[in-house]
Amino acid sequence: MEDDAPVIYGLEFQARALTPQIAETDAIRFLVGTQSLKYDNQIHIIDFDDENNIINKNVLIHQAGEIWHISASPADKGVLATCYNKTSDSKVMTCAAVWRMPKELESGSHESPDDSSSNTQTLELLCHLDNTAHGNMACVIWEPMGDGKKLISLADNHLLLWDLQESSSNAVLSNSAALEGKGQLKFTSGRWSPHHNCTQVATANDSAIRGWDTRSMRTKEPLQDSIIATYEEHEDSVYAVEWSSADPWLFASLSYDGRLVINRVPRALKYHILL
Amino acid sequence: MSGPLPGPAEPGSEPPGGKRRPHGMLKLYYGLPDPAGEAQGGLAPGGDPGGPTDINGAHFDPEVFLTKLRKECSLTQLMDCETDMVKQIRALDSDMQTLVYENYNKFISATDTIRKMKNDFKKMEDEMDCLAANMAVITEFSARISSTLQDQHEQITKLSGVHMLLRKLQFLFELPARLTKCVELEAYGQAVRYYSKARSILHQYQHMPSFQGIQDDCQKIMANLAQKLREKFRDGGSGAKDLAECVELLLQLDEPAEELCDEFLSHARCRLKAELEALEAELGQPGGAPITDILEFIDRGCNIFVSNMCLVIASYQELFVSREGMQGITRMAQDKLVAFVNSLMETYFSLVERRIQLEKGVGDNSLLVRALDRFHRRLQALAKLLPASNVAAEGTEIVVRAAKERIHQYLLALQSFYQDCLTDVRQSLAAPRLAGKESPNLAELLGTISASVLNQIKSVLTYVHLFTAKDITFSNKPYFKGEFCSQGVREGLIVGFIKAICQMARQFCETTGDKGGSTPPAVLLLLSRLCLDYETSTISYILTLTDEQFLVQDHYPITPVTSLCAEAREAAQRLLNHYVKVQGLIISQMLRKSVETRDWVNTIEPRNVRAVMKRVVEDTTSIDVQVGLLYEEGVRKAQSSDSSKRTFSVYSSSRQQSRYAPSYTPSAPLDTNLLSNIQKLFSERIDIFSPVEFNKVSVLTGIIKISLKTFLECVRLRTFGRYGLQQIQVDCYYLQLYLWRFVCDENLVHFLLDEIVGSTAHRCLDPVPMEQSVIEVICERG
Repeated sequence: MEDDAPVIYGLEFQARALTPQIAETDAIRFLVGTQSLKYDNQIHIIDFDDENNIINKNVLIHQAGEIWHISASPADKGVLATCYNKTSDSKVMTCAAVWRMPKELESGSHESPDDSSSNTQTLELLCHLDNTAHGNMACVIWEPMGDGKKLISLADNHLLLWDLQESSSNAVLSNSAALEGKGQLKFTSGRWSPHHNCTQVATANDSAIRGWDTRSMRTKEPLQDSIIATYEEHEDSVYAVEWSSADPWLFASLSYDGRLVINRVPRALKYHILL
Repeated sequence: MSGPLPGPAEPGSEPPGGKRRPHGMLKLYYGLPDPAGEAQGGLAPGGDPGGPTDINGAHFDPEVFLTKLRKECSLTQLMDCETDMVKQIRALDSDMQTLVYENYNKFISATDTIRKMKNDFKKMEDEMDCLAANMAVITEFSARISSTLQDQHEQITKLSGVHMLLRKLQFLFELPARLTKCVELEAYGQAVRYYSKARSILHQYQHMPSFQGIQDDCQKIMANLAQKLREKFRDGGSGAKDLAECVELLLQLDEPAEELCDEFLSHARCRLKAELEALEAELGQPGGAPITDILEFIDRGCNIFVSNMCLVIASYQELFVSREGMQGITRMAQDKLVAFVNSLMETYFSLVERRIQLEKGVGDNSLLVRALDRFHRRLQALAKLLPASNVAAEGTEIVVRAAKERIHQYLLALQSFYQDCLTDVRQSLAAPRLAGKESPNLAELLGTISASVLNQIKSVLTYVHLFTAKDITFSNKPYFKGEFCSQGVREGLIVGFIKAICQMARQFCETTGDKGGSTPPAVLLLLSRLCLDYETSTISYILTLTDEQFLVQDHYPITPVTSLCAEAREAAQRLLNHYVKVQGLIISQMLRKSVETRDWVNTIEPRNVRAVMKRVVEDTTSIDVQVGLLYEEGVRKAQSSDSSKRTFSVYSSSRQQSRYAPSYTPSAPLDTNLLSNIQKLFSERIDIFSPVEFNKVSVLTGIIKISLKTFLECVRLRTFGRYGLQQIQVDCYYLQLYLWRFVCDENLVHFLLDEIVGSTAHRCLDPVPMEQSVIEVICERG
């Protein structure tokens, strides 16, 4: 088995949304959301067979619009949230919603059909995250350790904390904070800290990173990082990289041209960390 | 055994020859060694000298001899032997007779002489008896006289003893008066001499009341005298000779030497302390400027304090250490002196160091060096006087510290000079814009800054070189020969400065946020060229200069030129990369704002190139000019002469691609992807933030890459209406018309612009592209 060779999967559309299926801890499974203005957008469920280096896919239709961000619930394999563009009356608005995928796709067990288009299925809408007051949604992030009831969404310069109620059919805004500073600041991305009982959130705006405490919703000191390795399989800009929730040494990266590359941490480095 | 016979046989008057033999025989007979005889014996038939067969030997045995002869010799031999023997016997007989005749007369005369002597001795004996009788009579008379004189002699002896005693007593009784007189006359030496004569006697008879009185008087007077001496001693106004006399007298008066040493030293300490205080006053107020310059200060210190110190040491040594009869206290006195000198010198040194620290001016330091030299020189003299103290070593330490401090100050001065140069450059870059003049020539600025920095380094080297001048006493100390040159000047000053330049360069690149943003890009460019110049020539020039001036003689590790050059080159590279990044980000920011702030869905049909694109081209042109002042043109990829045409055709292919857009079918995305992927197969992937080369084209390419990539990413985040797409088309064509000339490979620009237009088409709700001819008209119009 050629362990370190990357596996590449191509999508028809341009794409920038990628997430692992977090609630799934046995199989390596990623969700990819496409960006197309003309056609129905899709969510590709990518199963990676670690033993044989083979990829299986299932496609869901996401009719609401082109997907800018996707995230999977940490508690329920079938639940996911997307940020999507809604175009109406020549106005473009980015909204967010929580969806449930069909039951039979949840564990991705069934065989991949020969023709993807013939077998596409539709998502079931659970609820909208109402953002009319706060501007365009940049991303939705689930609380990683919780029961899939709490999520954060970043809308323009607002940090919003939501509670999902009645089996995710209703979303209630429970807290919010605004980013203050010079000029028009916009959140671009954010993450929960998995430590400290999930009370901290890191967000990015422009080239700055901010830390937030969800109890007080106040800024903390920024963090530092550094490069470990470089991967060069992509030709176009890469907008998403996600670790697998099942295999800690495996991650997927997605470039704008629709190329999904599944890579492993270099073996030498892995042993260096382990031993 | 050596009897009387050989004596008479010896006279040399006998004719030699025949006489020899009988003598030999006789000698042999008496057992005396006679080499001649032995040789003769050896010739005898039997050999065997001394044996029974040796006819001349003592143990001759006729029987054995005969038997042997008979056994060994033939008849003729026997006959010969017999005749020989007979001859010898005859000869011996005649010899004997001759001897007897010769000595007979002598015997007779000897007997006569002895008889005569006997008579003479008898007469002498009688005379001797007479003499003895006379002597006895004389002895008797003498004894009688002595006994009569005995009494008188004893009396005379007694009288003379009494006389002596009386004289002594008189001296004693007169002593107090004499002493008083002496004290009055200030003849202290005389007084002490008198007193020391009488002291032991007085001490011996102190139990007698009269003597007691005298002793008391004397002691009182002498105490008074001692007091006076001490006062004189303390007074110190008197000359060294007087002082020495004082001390000598005091010592003779059994004053404790230790106390005297202490007193002497404490007295000296007072005076020297006063001088030190005067010196300290010259330091001026703390924080204020010193009153006198350093040379004057050191001069004063040397001339007053150090020379007085030398005098004190010399006189002290004369008084207490090197004097006769003072061996007992030498050690103690010496220790005291060393402690005294060390404590005072410590104060002096601290003053000198304080003064040296005040010396902050970074210009000419010849005054300082001369002052240090004088300081050091005078200390050598002092150290020679008192080798046990550590002043010389400490003085050298101070000089070394001063030199180190100086080097450090020069390093700081060089750095601040460099900073000032940079500030000047910034100001001259900023100022002319206000005055409305043409912006200053970067190349000229570069020349100015590099020349003035080099001059500054040279002058600093000259200043520092003074420390090692031949006529400076401390320049031959090991520190100044070795470590000062290599570690101090070369490593500490020059290498340190070059490293500081590189460090500052890196800081310009590293500062993030507000600080880094405030550095004008032109300064970055200028510094990058400066570092590059340093790498190519300046560093090796400076180091060669340094090594020539300071012949490095030791084995300390030194930084090689190559590593410094590498550091400078790295700094230059970083600065240039940073320059590209900063310029790229400035243009990027304009592009990003222009894309983000517009509503692309509801825009109107394009009539003009957007102003921001013109601004981008203008800025790029001015950057091109700016870089061109400092860096060479660089290499472009070979272009065909009609490159505008070629760009056109390439661009039209992308236009072709966007034309496909309206005819999208469900399978169409695959085709477009395929098309763009095939296109990508033929072009290399573009590394946006790759390091640039040291030439204009490479720098410009880097900036344009960053700008266009930003444009692309911004476009991808937006959604466009039909006219939005058309506006982007117009803008991109405009950029294409003007940007190709700046880059090393124009295909790069085409590729990025195609990507932008392609991405825009993808993000367009109603992708209807504008006709190429219309685009061209719009662009040419303005």
